Amino acid sequence: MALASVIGVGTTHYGALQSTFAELVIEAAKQALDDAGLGPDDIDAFYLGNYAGDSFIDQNHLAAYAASVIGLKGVPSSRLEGACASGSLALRQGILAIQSGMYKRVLVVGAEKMTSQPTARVTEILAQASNREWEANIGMTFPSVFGLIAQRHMYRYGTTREQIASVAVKNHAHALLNPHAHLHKNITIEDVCGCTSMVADPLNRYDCSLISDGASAMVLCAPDLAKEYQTNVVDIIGSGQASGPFELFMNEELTSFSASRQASQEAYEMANVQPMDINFAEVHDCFTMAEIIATEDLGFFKPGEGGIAALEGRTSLRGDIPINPSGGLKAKGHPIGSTGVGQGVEVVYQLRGQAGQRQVKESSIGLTQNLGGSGGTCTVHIYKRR
Amino acid sequence: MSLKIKVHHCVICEKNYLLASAYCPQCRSENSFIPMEVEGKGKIFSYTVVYVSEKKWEADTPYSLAVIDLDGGVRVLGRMNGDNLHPLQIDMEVELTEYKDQVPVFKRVD
Repeated sequence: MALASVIGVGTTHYGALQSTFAELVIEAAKQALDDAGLGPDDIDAFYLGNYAGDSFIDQNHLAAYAASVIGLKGVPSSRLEGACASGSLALRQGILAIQSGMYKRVLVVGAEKMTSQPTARVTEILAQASNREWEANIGMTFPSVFGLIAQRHMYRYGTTREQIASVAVKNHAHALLNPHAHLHKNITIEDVCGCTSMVADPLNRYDCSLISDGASAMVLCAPDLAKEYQTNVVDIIGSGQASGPFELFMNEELTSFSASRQASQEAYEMANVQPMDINFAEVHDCFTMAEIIATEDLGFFKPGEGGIAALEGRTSLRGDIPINPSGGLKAKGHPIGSTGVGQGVEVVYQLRGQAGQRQVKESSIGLTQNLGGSGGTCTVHIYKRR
Repeated sequence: MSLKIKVHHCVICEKNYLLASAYCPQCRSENSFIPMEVEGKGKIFSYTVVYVSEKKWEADTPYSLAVIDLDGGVRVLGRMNGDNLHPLQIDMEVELTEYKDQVPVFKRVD
């Protein structure tokens, strides 16, 4: 049963862009409204996903600000923040709003302007999503979170450097086919494994997602109204959200996130589907290693077999379960608050058959997984073509 | 000789935690924690070497971080003494030898 229907989608390019935060929001929102054939006065509620506008652009009260620049008048507007999962929290709020029956048509925007700050400052702002006292102040950074995870995964399961590298190679190849992507550059396993620009052992520059600007938007409506606005309806049939241990070291095993397992279980049950029913997925590959454990936590592969599957090509565009056909956070880009909404926009393009050269084979069900912090927050959504 | 680490001890289920919470994560008891100290000795659960850090740690890079399971049943995050930058291994025995600018620094037990 549909929870809500997607009747409009839009996205800016992801990258180091000239556009301001306001311009990014306007571009994505306008596209989504146009796609739904709606105007600003048709929207009943607005949800914004944004991680750190206060730090990145020195602007707060961001939902009302974004509503104002879009030109929404009197529309109740709220901002959701859950680190890198901020966008999907906004989306989930939109779904809950429709489910409550209080609102019929909802606009969801995820947006982040990151390149206004130098890299060292961006690293500090991102570190705010970990425990300042017990993690960041000891010297932990987000790349090092996934460095610690990678070492443990390699130790426990025998995952290899080549397997981890194959995720970067695949996602770069996918992004080459995505005109919205931040990076358009083919790389090889040798490039990744031979890279001497280390970030957090065993991860180097090629294993890390990018510092990007961008915004993505969706218009949702009550399922019984969808056909009035859109001939190409995609329904959201499952939505799961869970919290996990806030600090990385509080996870019993570093090779899996309990919030991912719990959120996906909830979404699968709600949608009445199994992992094997999912045709393709956009998952949270902030680092190469994160994609491998995501594909395990989501049940696509057994624990410890995610790396093997990636190297075998099972997760590539022509594999049996394409992962991150958009290029993922790794190569499409990761404007923090935008990511969770952007993943959903990509799934809608794919299910509508509008993904151009990166189109996955005939598909009816797609999934998104969006992770915040070191697994402190996770959401999973399941989309189905009507 | 290792330094001690302050932990929170649940008087109901006897589990130790580095960070307190209003309800015990394990037995769900309310306000059940008392302060306790455990030996800063244990084994490396995982490790990494950080090359790109926050600005305030730039002078220290590259430095090693380790998630350590202390013998007292608590897991912590700490820095590893610079001498051990490369030969770190999971399950290696380590001990807390100093706090440098409030950062716990561990060293391999020889």
